[in-house]
Amino acid sequence: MAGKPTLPGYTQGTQIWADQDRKPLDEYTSIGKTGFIRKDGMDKVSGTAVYTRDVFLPGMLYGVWLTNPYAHAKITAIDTTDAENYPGVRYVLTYEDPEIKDKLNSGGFLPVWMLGSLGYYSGEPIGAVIVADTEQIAREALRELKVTWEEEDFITDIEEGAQSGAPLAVDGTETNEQMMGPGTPTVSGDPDAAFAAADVIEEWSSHKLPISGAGAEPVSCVAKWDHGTGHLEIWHHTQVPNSHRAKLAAYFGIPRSDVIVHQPYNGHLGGHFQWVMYDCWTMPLLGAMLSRRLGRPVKMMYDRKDDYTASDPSFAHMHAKVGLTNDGKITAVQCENYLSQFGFNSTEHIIENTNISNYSLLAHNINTNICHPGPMRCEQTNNVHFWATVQQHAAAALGMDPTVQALLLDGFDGEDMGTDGAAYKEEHGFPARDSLAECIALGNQEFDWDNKWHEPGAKTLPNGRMHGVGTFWGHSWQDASGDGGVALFFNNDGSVNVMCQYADNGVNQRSTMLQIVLEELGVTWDNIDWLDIGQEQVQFSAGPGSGSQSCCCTGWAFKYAAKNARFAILDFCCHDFEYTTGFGGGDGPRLQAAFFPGLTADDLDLKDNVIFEKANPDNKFTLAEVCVHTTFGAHNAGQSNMGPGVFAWQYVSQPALADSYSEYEHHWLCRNFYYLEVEVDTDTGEVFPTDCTVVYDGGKIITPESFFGQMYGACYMGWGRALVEEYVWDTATGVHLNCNFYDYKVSTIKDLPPAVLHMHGIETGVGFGPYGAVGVGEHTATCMWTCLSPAIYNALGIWIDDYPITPAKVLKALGKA
Amino acid sequence: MTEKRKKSGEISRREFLRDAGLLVGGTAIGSTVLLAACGGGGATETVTKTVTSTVPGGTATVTSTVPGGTATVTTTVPGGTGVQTVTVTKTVEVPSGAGPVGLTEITFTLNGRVYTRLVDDSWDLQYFLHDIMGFIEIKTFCYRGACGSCSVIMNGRPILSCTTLAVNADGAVIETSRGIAMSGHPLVNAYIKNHCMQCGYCTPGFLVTSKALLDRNPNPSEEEIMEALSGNICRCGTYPAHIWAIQEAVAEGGM
Repeated sequence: MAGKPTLPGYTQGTQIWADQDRKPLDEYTSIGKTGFIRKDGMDKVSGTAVYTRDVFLPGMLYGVWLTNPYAHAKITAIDTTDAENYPGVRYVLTYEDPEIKDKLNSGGFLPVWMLGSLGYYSGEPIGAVIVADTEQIAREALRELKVTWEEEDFITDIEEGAQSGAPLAVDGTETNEQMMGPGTPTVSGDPDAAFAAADVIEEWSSHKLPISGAGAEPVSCVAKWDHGTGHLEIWHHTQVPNSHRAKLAAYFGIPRSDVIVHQPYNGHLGGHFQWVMYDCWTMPLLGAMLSRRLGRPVKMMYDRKDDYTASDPSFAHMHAKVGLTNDGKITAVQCENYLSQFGFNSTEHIIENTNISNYSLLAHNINTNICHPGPMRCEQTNNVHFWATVQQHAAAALGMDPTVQALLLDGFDGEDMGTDGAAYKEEHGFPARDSLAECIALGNQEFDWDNKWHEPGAKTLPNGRMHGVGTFWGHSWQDASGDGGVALFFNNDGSVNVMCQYADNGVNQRSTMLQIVLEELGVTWDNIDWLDIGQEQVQFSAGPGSGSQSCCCTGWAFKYAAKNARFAILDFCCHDFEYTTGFGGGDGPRLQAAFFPGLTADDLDLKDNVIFEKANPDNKFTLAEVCVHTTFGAHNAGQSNMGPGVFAWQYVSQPALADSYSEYEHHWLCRNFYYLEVEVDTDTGEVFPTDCTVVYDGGKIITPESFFGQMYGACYMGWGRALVEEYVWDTATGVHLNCNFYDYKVSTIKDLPPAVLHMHGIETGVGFGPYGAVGVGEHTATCMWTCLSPAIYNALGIWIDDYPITPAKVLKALGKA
Repeated sequence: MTEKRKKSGEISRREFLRDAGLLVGGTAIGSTVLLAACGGGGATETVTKTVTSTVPGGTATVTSTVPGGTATVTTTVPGGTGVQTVTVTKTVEVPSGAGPVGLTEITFTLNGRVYTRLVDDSWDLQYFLHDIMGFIEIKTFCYRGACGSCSVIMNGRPILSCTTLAVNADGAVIETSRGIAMSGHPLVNAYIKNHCMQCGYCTPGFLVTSKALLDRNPNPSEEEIMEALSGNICRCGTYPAHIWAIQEAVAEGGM
């Protein structure tokens, strides 16, 4: 586009989207193929994979936090004498330390201090950090702190928190309502008139309790301040290493060149990009400060209980009303939703997925004294929750088959997918495929929907249980906005390394990205790998969310870096070049004739590590024969077999959705459909899954094993969220009660027998990622759980819109408890 | 390592183990309740403790350890706000022959190599092997025996190393996921091929549990596999892949 920067290796996203550069879906050589032995496989199976928790440095000390035992309290005095004298304790840092006193690390909707004296939720790390020879000593020494607390009023219910006169969750505020949400309704069309004209109006309320952000690996961070070199090194869970690098450098007043941020494997699935997350930003800052003072590395550690201080921002109360026509269309939607602080929005998906043109959608974000948000697979729970209840209640209100009604609603921004969507796809070069229709066609067949769906409460099984089915549908995540960069180079033996710092949080980027490189470059799987050592010291990074944006953003960078490298090596082969022999240049530069004199890069091809002339495949050289002469930047003289080889890179910057800069109208086109079949025991309230079928349009599936792995894996997380996952607070004190994996239940292998899972993928190519792909890692966990409420309604004829739907809630709904 | 035995109502993981583990180990140290159940015996000792409540008033149960014994005391902390500090006194039975917690020399075989090390009697096996010995495949996940990620095979049985004292490994033969991988066990390639890992943090524990299953049952049914793996938690939800991998290892590995 005119006026945009055209730096080599620098690409604006809208240019990429306009140039999909796709092959027919069945003509790829690496993309979509199974059987690549994943590069992290042996590391993770054997256990030699190093996570932050596993980082040990010589002389390392251990830092742990005092935590707030109340829902809302302040520290008025602290006596550290006994703690400082505790054997093995090396340092006690308190909120009164001049370097950090009253210093905000970042401002969210709850303030996040470097080390505050005000506690806004139980378990919050505040007041003091003790550094000792071992974690055990440090935790024992915490008990030697003499802390005087002053309790304050607290609020844990979001809807009560919105009421006038409610206790204020945050000191210094005048109201608990924050402006993260719209604040005023988002209005489109004429909802009042549409409701007046509606044949049917349905109203309901739904609730979702928070779910845990606690991952497998308790959060930790290692900081090493090297007074000799002046370097600060950080090992940390993060998706944004360069942001950490910038923040650390700015905080300590040192150049970024002196800051190295390592990303070990990440066993904590949380987002770790939120500025409101204490552990994300403050942990490395405090660790660095303590390491600088003590002259020794410091590992800052949460234990399992500490790690439960962050929750998914899914605490929501929603009140909704829809207007319908008898033919099944939703003509109006109105809602007033209450979300926990930083609860993201709850109304976007209904806009992004449908042709509904009349709505008034209001969401309140309410401060409460519950734990900070820590998105885990992922932050869209509220958006999904609201859209799910709308489609499910709307279908039920008419007694309509939800798989039929879905096609009546499919669209975007009030436009119809069938008509407007077809025009949009044609205009933007997408295949003329109807994603939702294809999902439903396949899903109905595989799930046997027509035979399983029935009138609510109408089917009792021979075992005495009630049978029910439920569905949800929505758009696939593509997270195509953001930026990312990757470099790759040929070693002198023809092997290839890629350099890109990324967060390995479980979606198999390490192999998937290399499949993209293989597709574009033509080398073999055993001839390519990541360069791990030292990669943290380069700026090539998987962008702001190498989890969410791994496929659709960073994938572009890999694709075009590989294309750049391919051109570079083929172009090198077509030119004479100089080289030297021996140390110090030996007998001086020699001129070597081109490998393919008189040809251009376009005349050549590269497959299976061999470069050959397209018109004469016998005219060929292996990559090893060529690369022994390449040096940094082709065509230059160098000492053969000693240079780093041909180097290429790509940086991709893609604007967010339909942004004003590009004026590129970005819509979500890939869909997915979820089916759940359950049996409900009306004597015990237990719910048993018997079929969980997911049809997911991946656009283009890059690594099938990972694609389906993310789907069935997320089903377990979704099933836990539907049935058992909930944070529990003591109502009298506001203290968080279930901070471990005994009291906070998650799905195990027996809770959702693998035999009931049926995962299906389709490929329409209508995604905005490379090759028309979309993301898959977060979606199923965020959507699958919403099928439970309609499934129970179908079984019992009773709505239980209160997640998690525990046996006690089922029995209560049945009038048995 | 020197420790002060002065604690609040909360007990640490290792303190928990020190009581429970030693009782299991058949030694004479245990809580008064447990000692009573075991017959107790020995002298008595008066224990005085300063108790700091971490809840705003109410009843606190305090476990206090002294050389040779453990006292469990229930006391009422005054109501009101702020941290409450009270002093409780308890006379406990101290079994004869019990000595102070200290260092013990143990010899064990791990992945085919013999080690002799001094271990603190309070160390759990997971901490000792992971933090002290550097066998990082034994992961810290739940801290207290809920997840299976710290599993190792000890004397032929899968055990949770986080709820096993290091001193109990004296004379033991231990196998970790690293050893299983180094041995070329067919499970390893099957695990990789079937993408049994996502974030990978829990994967070594699953491999150990699966290996132990095949050691005792070379051809398990799907139900038996699920039963064996039901104590392992995977937050990513890789569960089905483990079944496929085990079945494939059985089919291809000539188990």
